Amino acid sequence: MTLLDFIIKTLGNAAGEVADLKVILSMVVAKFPDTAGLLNPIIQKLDAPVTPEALALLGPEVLKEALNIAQGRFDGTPHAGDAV
Amino acid sequence: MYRILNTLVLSLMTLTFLGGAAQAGVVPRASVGANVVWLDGPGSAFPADFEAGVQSSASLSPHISAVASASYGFSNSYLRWDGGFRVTATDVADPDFNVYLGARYRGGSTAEVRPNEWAPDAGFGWKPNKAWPNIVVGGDAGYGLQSNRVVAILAVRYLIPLHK
Repeated sequence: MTLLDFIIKTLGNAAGEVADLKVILSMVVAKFPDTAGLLNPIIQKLDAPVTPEALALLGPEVLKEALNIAQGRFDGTPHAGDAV
Repeated sequence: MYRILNTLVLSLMTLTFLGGAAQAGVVPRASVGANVVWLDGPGSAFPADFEAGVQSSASLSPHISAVASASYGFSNSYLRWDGGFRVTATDVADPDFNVYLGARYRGGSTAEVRPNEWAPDAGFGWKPNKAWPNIVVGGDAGYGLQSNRVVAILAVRYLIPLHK
């Protein structure tokens, strides 16, 4: 399963259009070849495999962190995606 | 004029959110940026637009963040806003690449970007060059639960250096 497959599966069939992200990126590269150096690494990352071990870790981690947040304990580790 | 006022009010709300988060011990972040946006689905009156806007966020834990944003669409003169939470995951091999799944409550100033509704979304952010630590490129797609419309964006952001 690739990262993109995982995102689509998690959101359910109704959000299958999320695959548009990759289509849009590929379209931009096709129209503006100069952007290939910037966008192709992102397309490759979306095609990267997600390991079952990584998925198994994510659930308990998120639950633990949600409990910490509920108790007022925060950790401000920055994420690049938060700006989007 | 009304839309400019709306933008100012939303910007103030964003700043209030940042201030409140800071008081609670959360590290708030803000950015300005531009989007190419696509609207797809039943009743979509226009296929694409170019937007500029302001975003704020607070990373609450290594995998959970709160986000809010407001954007102005230039071709169709609308204001679009949203706020929500997301679960994030960072690439172990590349800490500058981050993907997320979340849900936003979104709405806007015109029928084209309404109704106000919840939208599960997914996306990514990437700092493409370590020499530009404040530049992020990203993409997001959200599915409106009420309208069945997809709003997808490609984005570039400048992170405002609020902290040293």
